[in-house]
Amino acid sequence: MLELGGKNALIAFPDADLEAVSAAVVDGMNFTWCGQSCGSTSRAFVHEKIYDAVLERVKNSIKRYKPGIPTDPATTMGSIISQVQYDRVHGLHRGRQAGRRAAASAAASGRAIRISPRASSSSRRYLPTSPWTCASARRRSSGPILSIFKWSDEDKMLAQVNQVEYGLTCSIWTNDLVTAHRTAAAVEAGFVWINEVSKHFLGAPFGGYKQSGVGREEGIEELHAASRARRTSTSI
Amino acid sequence: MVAVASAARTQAAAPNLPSHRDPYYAGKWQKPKVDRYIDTISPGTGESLGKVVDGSVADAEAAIAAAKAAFRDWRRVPPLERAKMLRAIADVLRKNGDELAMIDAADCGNPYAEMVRDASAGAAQLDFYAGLVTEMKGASIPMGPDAVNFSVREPFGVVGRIIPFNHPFMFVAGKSARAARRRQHRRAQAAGAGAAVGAAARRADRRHPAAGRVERGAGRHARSARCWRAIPTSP
Repeated sequence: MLELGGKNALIAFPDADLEAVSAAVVDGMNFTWCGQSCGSTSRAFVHEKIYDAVLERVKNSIKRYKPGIPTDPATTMGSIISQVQYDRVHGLHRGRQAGRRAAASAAASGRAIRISPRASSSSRRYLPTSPWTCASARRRSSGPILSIFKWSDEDKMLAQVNQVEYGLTCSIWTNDLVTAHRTAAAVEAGFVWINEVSKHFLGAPFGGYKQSGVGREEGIEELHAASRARRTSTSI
Repeated sequence: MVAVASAARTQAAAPNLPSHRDPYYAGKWQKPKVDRYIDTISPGTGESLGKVVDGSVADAEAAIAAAKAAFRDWRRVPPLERAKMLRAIADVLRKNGDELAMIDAADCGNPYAEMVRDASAGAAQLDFYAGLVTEMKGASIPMGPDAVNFSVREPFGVVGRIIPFNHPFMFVAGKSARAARRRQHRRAQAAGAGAAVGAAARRADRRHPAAGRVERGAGRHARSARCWRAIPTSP
């Protein structure tokens, strides 16, 4: 039994509550631990009708994090675990910048941005780029890199959601019950939230599809995974 | 090993770092099989939190052997007794939540203010699995009047868990709880009980010096203290 992380999607439909979904885009990243969390929704797919409004709120919202020394009680965003991981995250960041340049001529820029509150406030950058030209959009960074994509065609968006090799969590935002459940059934993820993000529930099995692992934790399934069934038959 | 507290570059309270940095199994601190220690680096300051044993395969094997030996006692502990022990450990975590959070903050780089919740989350998991002690049920299979058919769930035996770096204490508590609550069915032939080896293999290139602390507190309350292990091992 293994839970191996994800490159998880948050999907915002145009009818979603603007404030709530904007907060979820930020909360879902777990910036508190620099995004170093298996279930972080590091790819947000926001419908074009609300994209600009959500983006504006997200930019404001992430300013609330206070990066600092972890043992300082005032700190609300800690450190990346090691130099190796730090370099790796920055490597993806640099790759993103290269991808952006490559995509510029293809008129694809503007479809997605990356946000990381770890960048110093003076150099905090929100760079438009193409979703699939950069490694940081598809590869798991386990760092504070959030990609926000604009979508209009649901089928294409779902294809992109499922295109990565991971499938741990997915957060779906809509007030339409049918849309919510249709989407929940279409995404390749082991743990789906509707109008919620990040939360774990004891007793609710947690685990992923594809490369996000095998087996389910946090429920009785976890106990079953470490045991086997034996049948005894007696004639009477 | 003696703890070397780093001079944290902050006004915040310094973590009360664990004094023991060696493998813990078979109810006590052990000398490592390979005498190899490494610095553990605090991600927030880049400074060393002191040396910690670089656990070897031989250490892991010794811990697994100790866990296997503990089966003999543990399998005789009635399920509701086990639940009681798990809840007692949960209480220890809750009582020491602030201290554990500060160690986690220094060790894994997550903010202290947020890590305080990890102790209660870990305790909640212990309580949850304590509640499942009677729920590992089999099934009866109807085969007509001439037969009695049933199945039981048998534990595989010693379970090794890999703890991720981002929430050390919470995962040590939770993942060990799952294993420890498992019930050895009296009829089962196979050796196997709820003893757990929580092999705290840090996949990030560092070690977790603090893992043993939970167990020390836990050991006071659990009759079978050997069922609680977290040993640093090579990644």
